Order: sequence, then C-alpha cells, then structure tokens
Amino acid sequence: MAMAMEEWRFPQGRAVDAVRWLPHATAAMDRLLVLALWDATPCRPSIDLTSLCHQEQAEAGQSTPWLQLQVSWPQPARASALRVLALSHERVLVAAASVVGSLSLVAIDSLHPSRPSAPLICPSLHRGSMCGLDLQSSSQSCVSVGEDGKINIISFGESGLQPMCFYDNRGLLSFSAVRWASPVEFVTGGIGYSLQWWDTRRPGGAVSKALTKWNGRHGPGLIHSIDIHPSRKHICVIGGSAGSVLAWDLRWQQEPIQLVGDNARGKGNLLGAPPIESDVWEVKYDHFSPFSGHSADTGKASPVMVCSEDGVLAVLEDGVAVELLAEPCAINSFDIDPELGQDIICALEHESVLVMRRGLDIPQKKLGNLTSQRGTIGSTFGSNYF
Amino acid sequence: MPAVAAASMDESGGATSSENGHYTPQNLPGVYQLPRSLGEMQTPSMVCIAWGSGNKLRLSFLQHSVPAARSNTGTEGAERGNGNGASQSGGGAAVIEIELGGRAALGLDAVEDAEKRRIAYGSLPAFALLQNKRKMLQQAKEFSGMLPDDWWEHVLEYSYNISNLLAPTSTTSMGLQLDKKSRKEKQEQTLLRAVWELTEIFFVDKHVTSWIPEKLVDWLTVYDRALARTEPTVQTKLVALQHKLPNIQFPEDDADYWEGACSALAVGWLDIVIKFLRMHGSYRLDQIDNRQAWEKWRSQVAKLDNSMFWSECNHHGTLLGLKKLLQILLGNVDALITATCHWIELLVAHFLYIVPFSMVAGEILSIARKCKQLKHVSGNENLRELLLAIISNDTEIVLAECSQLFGPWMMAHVVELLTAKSTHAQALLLEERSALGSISLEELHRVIYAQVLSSHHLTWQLSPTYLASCPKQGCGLLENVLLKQPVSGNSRLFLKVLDISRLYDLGVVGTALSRVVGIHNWKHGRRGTGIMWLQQARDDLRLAAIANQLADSVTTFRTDDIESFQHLEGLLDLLDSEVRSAQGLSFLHRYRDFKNSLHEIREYRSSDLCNPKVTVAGRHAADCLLQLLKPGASPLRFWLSILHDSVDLLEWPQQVLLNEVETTTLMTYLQELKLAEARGDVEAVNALSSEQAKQQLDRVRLALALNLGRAILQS
Repeated sequence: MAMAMEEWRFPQGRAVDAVRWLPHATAAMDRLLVLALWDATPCRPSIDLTSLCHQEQAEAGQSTPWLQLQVSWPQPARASALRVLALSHERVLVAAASVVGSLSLVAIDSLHPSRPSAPLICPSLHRGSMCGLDLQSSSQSCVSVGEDGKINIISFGESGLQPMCFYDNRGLLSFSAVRWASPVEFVTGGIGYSLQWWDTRRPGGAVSKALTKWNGRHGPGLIHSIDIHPSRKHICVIGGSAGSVLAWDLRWQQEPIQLVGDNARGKGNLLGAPPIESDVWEVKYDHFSPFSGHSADTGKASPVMVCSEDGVLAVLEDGVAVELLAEPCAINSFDIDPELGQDIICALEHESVLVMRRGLDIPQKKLGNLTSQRGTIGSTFGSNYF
Repeated sequence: MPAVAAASMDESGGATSSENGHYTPQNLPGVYQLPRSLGEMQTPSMVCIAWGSGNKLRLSFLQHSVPAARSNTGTEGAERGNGNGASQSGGGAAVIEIELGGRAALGLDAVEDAEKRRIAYGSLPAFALLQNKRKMLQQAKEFSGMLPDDWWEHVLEYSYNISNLLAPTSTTSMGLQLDKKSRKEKQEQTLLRAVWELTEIFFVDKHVTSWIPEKLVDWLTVYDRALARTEPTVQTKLVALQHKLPNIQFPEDDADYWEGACSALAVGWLDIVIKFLRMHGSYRLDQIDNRQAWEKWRSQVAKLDNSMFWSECNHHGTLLGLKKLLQILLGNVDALITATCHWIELLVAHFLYIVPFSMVAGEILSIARKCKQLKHVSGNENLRELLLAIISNDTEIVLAECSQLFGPWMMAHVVELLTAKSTHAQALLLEERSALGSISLEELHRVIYAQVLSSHHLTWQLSPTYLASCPKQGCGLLENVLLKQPVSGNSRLFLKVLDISRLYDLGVVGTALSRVVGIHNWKHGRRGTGIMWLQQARDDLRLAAIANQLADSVTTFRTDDIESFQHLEGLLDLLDSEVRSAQGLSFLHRYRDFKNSLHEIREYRSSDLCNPKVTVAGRHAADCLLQLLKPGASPLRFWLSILHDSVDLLEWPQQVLLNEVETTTLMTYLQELKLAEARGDVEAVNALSSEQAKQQLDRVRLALALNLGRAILQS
C-alpha cells in the first residue's frame, strides 16, 4: 500500500542550504518559496525568492510544476539559518543568518513578489557563525545565537534594526539553535545536548535548564534544530547528533525524553537498530493530519517530522517512524507548508530542491524500521572492503 | 628554489589576475595577513606554493623583516597579494588563495559544470547499486573472480538508469538562467548518450544479438541528430530542406527534394519519405497513407522498375526521382552511397536494402569497415573510430577513444558496460597491472574519477562511493580525501566528513579531524566546543593541559566574583563527572561544587536567614571539601587555596562542622605541602613563596588548631 505522494525535483546547479515556504497569500496564484543558495566557484551566496508554478492543463496528472525565479538577493556569506514570518496579510519577512555572523532581513510583498526591496543587513552580530535565529511577530524581534556563546535580540520595528546583546558567555558554551516559545520566552540549544529556557524579562541567565546526560561516548552532542509544540509552548522537540530526536517538557524539568536515536533502544516502541544514524538537521511538528484522532485529547505525542544526513525524511509518531523519503544524499533542510501541511519542500545535498505533496486519504506507507539508502551503500561494500 | 617557485607563481597567479581583472589586494578573496614578522628570520623572503582545497592554489609570502630585502626578492604577484598591510609594517606574511582556471572563476562554464554535476549526482545510486549486487554475488559464490553468466542483466538495468539520466533535461526546471543554455551542450550530452546506448547494444544486451541490425536502425533514428554535430548527416540535409520546402510551390521540380526523399529512404525513415511524397504536386488523399501500402509497394518494386507505367509518367523530375527511389529500394550501392552522408547511415542502408537482417556478427564488422572507407570525410575521426570499435567489440579502442572524447565520468561508468559479458574485456580491465601500481584498469578509472569529484566543493561527497569500490588503493585515498577537507572553519562540513568516516569505519580519520577542530575551536575562544571535540578525539594530553589552564583561571576567581565563575558553570555541566580521561576536569567539577556551597553560605549569612539552613549549607560545603581532599583528587598547587577557603568552615561559629578525624586529614595535607616545599617540589615552592601565601598559611594553621581543640572537647 503506497502512500500517494507526488514529488518533483528541481536541480539548482548550486548548493541549497535552506528552504522555506512563504505563507500563502490568497490573491496570489502561485506558491512562493525562499531558497538559501550558495555557489562555490565563484563564491556567490544568495537568497532567492521563487514561485512554484503549475501549468493548468486539461489532461490530469500531466502538469509538471517548475520554479520561476522572482528576486535574488546577494548575501555577504553562506547562509546558516533561514526563517520567514508573516507580518500581515501580504507582507512577509525573511531573515537569513550567515556563517560570518551577519543577519539579513528583507520584507516581501507576497502579492507582488518581484517588486524589488532592499535587504537590511546587520554585519558581525556574532564572532564566527550565527548558528540559529528565530522571528517573533508580536514583539517584532529576532533572536540570534552563535558559536561565540552570544544571544542577541534584534528588534525590527519602525525605527529599523536595533540589535541588543542579551547574554554572552564569551565562547564558553556555543549555542547552535534557538526558537521563540512566546513573545518573551525562547529556548536555546547548544553543545552537549544542553537546553536552556530564557525569559527576556529576566536577563543575566537562563530561567531553566534541561538536565541532559551527555557522556561523549555516542559521538558529539550537538543540537541542530528546535521546534516548539504549536499549542503547548512548554513542550519542545530537538534534533541533533547521532540521530537523536529528544522531547523536553519544561514542566517536568527532568531529562528530555528520547524519541528516537541511540539511547532509545529498548525504550519506546522503536525496535531494532536506530532508524537514523547520522545528524538530524531539522525537526518540525507535523500539523498535517489525514487521519484525525491523534490530536491533543487522545494524549498521544504529536507527530514530528525530521530530516537527516543519511537522507531520510520521516514522521515520528507514537514510537513509529513513517518514512517519506530515502535519498542517496543528505537532506539538509525541509519545510512543511504552513496552511494544510500537505506540501513539503526539501533541500537536497545534491544541489537540488524537492517538492512533495502528500495525499489526503491514504494509509501509511511503511512502518517500523527505516531504510537509509546511503547507509546501505556504505555498509554493504564499504567497511568490508577495508 | 624560492626563485623558481616565484616565477611559476607569477605565471599562473598573474595570468588569472589579469584575465579576471578584479584581483586587487582589497577584494582578493581569501587573503590572510600575518601582521608581524615571524621572528628573526635570517633567510630572505620566501614564497611557498601549495594546493588548497579544490582548484585553489595557496601562495604564502613570508617577508624578511628588513624592508630593503623585500624589494629585491618580492615578485610582482607576491606584492599584489601582500597588499598594503605587510609593506607598512615592514615585514610579515600573507597567504593568498587563488582559484585557478580563469573560465571557471568567471562562471562561464557554470551551466555546463552544473549539468555535469547533475549527471555525477544521478549516476551515483545506479553505480552503488550495481557494485552492491556484484559484491553480494561474489560473496554468495565465494569469490571465484569471474562474474556470473547472468551478470549482464544487472548491467543492463544499470545502463538503462544511466541512459535515462543522460536524456536532455527540461530547461525550465533548472534554477539557473537556462534560456540561453547552449545548444552545443545539450547535443553533446546526446552524443554521449548515443555512444552509451550503442555500447549497451554491442557490449551488454545479449537479447539483441540476433537482431543487432534492427537495433542499429532504431538507434540511428534517435541519434542521427547527435552525429550531425561532428559531420553532415542525412538529418542535416533534411533539416535544411525543411526550411526550404514550404516556400516551393512544386517541390517535384527541385532536385534537392528528390535527393532528400532518397536519403530518408536509404536510412529507412519511411514516415519522412511518405511526408515527402505527400508534398508531390500530383498527390491525392489515400494514395500513400500507411506503411502497409509501402511494404506492398516494395515487393512489387523489381517488377515496377521495368513496368510500362514509366512511359505514362510525363513529368521528367518525378520520373528521375522515382527511379532513384527505386534504385535505393533495389539496393544499388552507388545510389545508397550518394543518398547517405555518415558512414553509419550507409551501414544502416546496407542492412535495409542489401544484406538481409539475419546474419552473423562477423559480417557486420566487414560491412562496417567497408562503409567507413567508402564514406571517408574529414569529420571527427575519434568519433568515427569509436563507433566502429563499438560495433566491432574492440574494447581497447573503445577505451582509448572514449577517454579522448569524453571525460573521466564516462571512463568510470562505461567500464561496467564493457565487462558485462565479454570475458576478454573482463580479463583486460580487471587484471592487476604492475605498471599501474598493481591496480586494475577498472580501479584506475574509478580512482581518476574520484579525484575529479573530490576537487570540487560540492561533489567531493560522491567520491567515497567510488573509492569504496577500489579494493587496492580506495581506503588510503578515501582517508586522504577526508583529511584534506577544510573542516576547521566549517562546522557543517566537518559533521558531514565525520559522518562519512563513521559510515566507512574510518575512526582514525574522525579522531584526527576531531582533534584539529577541537584545537581550532579552543584557539578561537570557543572553549566548550573545543573541549567537546578534544574529548571526542580522546586527546588526554591536551585535555589535561586545558584542565590546568581552566583550574588556574578558576582559582584566581575570588569567591565573591561568582558572576564570572558562573560562566564556567555551563561548561562544567557539560563535562560529565564520569569522564575518567581528564583527571583535571573532574577536579574542576568538585572545586566548583565547593565554591558554590561557600557562596551559598555567604548569601544566607548576608540575608540573615534562619540558622538551620546555614548549617545544612555548611555541612554540604564540608562534604565537598572532603571530596576534594580525597587522595589524588586535587593537584598539589591548589591545596593551599583550598585549605584557605576552608577557614570559614573551621571557624564555624555555631558548632563544630569538621570533626577530629576530618581536621586531622586537613592537617595532613598541610604537612605534606610543607614537606613538599622542603623537598624542593616546584609546585609547592611556587605556591608558598609569596608573602600572601605565608599569611594564608598562618591563618590556616591557627584555624586548624582551634578547630581541633573544639572537636576534641566536643567528643
């Protein structure tokens, strides 16, 4: 029983570092998406706004979409994080962090996407890479974290960009991901699976910390991505090294619960080998629900979508992993469309963008263990030869 | 030596600079300046040249500190790279990275390169799958060295996958501006595909051996356009006619019209012949409408040639034209030669009209040779040779001509096709040759391709798959590729390299790179990250040094300076107390606990809280102190400051916190410290030499004596 999924690949001829859907403006015809691209020779990083065009044709199933470039903004350096935020009905803010610690913000009119607008650039907010950033609409502020151990809060109100250093541990602990939980609270993640909860009203230190047990035996303990539960802000999920996907409930303040990964063996319902072995680059709560019933009232954990270095895109739910994609290369970033959650966009390591549409009334494709295509390539003839 | 190096650098670097015209010191990418001179160098200024990542050439210019020497030996190129910074400071060094290959640097080949990379990415899964199957088959057969009989079926599947990949892509989906995508590139890919498919027909597919001529006819229909790139073909002729014919009222008057019809007929493109004949002025509907009509016609051709109908035909052009068509149908060699252009077209015409389809391969070969001689034009000789070699199953020449015409990609992938069923080719390609460093030709081509892949920022990740299929030199080269990646400045790249080394069980590489990244991070002030990677690298030596450094900075904090101490907190949280490898770091852990509890006591005291809480905190502090004083737990040089910190606990006002035994332990430590000083232990002498230390020592002695007295009294 195959899940009816359609997928289209768009080679870009450049490295695709991050992808995001733009919130859909009802008046606009095509879906808009932002890509963070990087050209190695010559070094030309850019943020591209493109529209996903569908040709309306009489014969069904024959419409192949294509990507139409709308605007391209050159960037000071390769992007390390990308976020979008709907400011109003048709105004969307795109923010990109770079590996040299700069921040670029650009406002887009989604009804007239090709209308040019100049990006605002904040140079050198961090020493080294700005690893994570997030946007918050009600307080009109952006929080950024970097490997230099700094947390900056940049307000983007009417008076332009106003950066403010919120916390600085002078490089002792690098931060690698950040997410707003409420207009005044945010979560950060750093090395050693360390998770901190911050409140902008209480500067000087973290309000709460997760007691993680990282002992260095299962590889580096890095957090690459954090997502906050859409309706319960005290629950967050993180993705990190060695296939770890952890959930943390602030109210319990104990060890995060491992959803999948090295330590999940024996625990939970995932049997056998861990489905993902390499870095989980991005995690997101999956709000797409073709089968109603797993909502808040049943008490089950909400489904989480993850993408990984070994090319797996999967939905984890109740200890079961449903594999959506198994690529021969890494999936560096993905995004679920903000309206229905039906369309997924992925940034593949092999310089291409993949757009996928999930069917609405289909049973699950595969249960249990995931098969990583790249893993098979390596394990079967890699190690044995040497 | 430096002089030679400087000259060659000026050539390559200078050429690139002048071509691009934008390499000035101000915007030259990747210029690293070292502001001061490197010590007292007695040597003159030097230029060092090394390969950087990818196609980058790294030039390092080390300048002599005497400004006069600079003007003598500094070459123009080095001056340019050196910029103003170094010349102002009168000494120093600069490192420049120059992207070689002017065209690539200007992005002229961006589209072509992107297309090549697309093929490289796409062919990886097919290649890996085939290698996988081969490995499994060989394991099942306990490796006899020979491939199984049905092996060609797997190769055929692989060949289909690759061939699909080589199909022209729809330009709209490419992210680049491809509206001007050079037609040349598109056709070149098709030519590649043409050669690929022809190789597949002759080297792989066993099913088609009985009807190779038919396959060849079909093949020509698809790829004649591709052949038109190197020399004129029937396709070229017909395309030219296509533009001309709509403007002519009576095409039958035109000699080209009949020539076109003859050519199309000669290579068997009946649909086109029918289209041509429909343009004839005398054409009426239903006259020639389908293939059956033509087939029937053909059977009657011989009769027709001599029939009475000719006398009825009063249009001279039509008469001659139709006669020509009939000559072709009858297999007149001269007519065929005039009608066709490319030799392979003549070969196809032979199959269609002279030699029947059922024949053996030997005859194909002799006919092919004859055709090639008959159609000798100045075209791409390599391609002509290659096509003949494929048809004649000549593996050596196919290899030689392929490497002339197509790049390393083709060489690495076509080998699979050549070895699919031919044992001769298998022997040729799989034999280990001492001239090649005892690797086989197959491995050689994979190694070359892997090296091409690893020279690019994005495709290097493909090279492990190819190197993994190289049994002899693969592992060593793979280690090399991974170790050469510029990991220290790019954390994501580092994690990818680390993941590949995990996948291929190259723990050594992972450890080596973790150490590099750890040191890099530590040096750039990212201490936590540095420690984490050094722990991953199990570099105990450096961790111990770091622990000492941290311990020093911790003990220099005053107890009230808890603010800066708290910054270390997170770092210490990170370090698991179980970590045995770094003794010094576990000391820091305990010391942190001790300092924290002392701070707590002070806070309680200042806020004047109730006594029980203070006492609990005091007891906790005493426990921490005893943890620190376990044998071997703390380095000797910290003993005095620990003992001095404990004075507060010894002089606890409300009650005796440390009992008789515990106080004695403290006294033992004090005694050992004094003894060590007497022995001349450097650490102890340093710790006790200052005036402040002497005062602290007296203070500790007094407090110990007092507490001992109190403890004895209490017990």
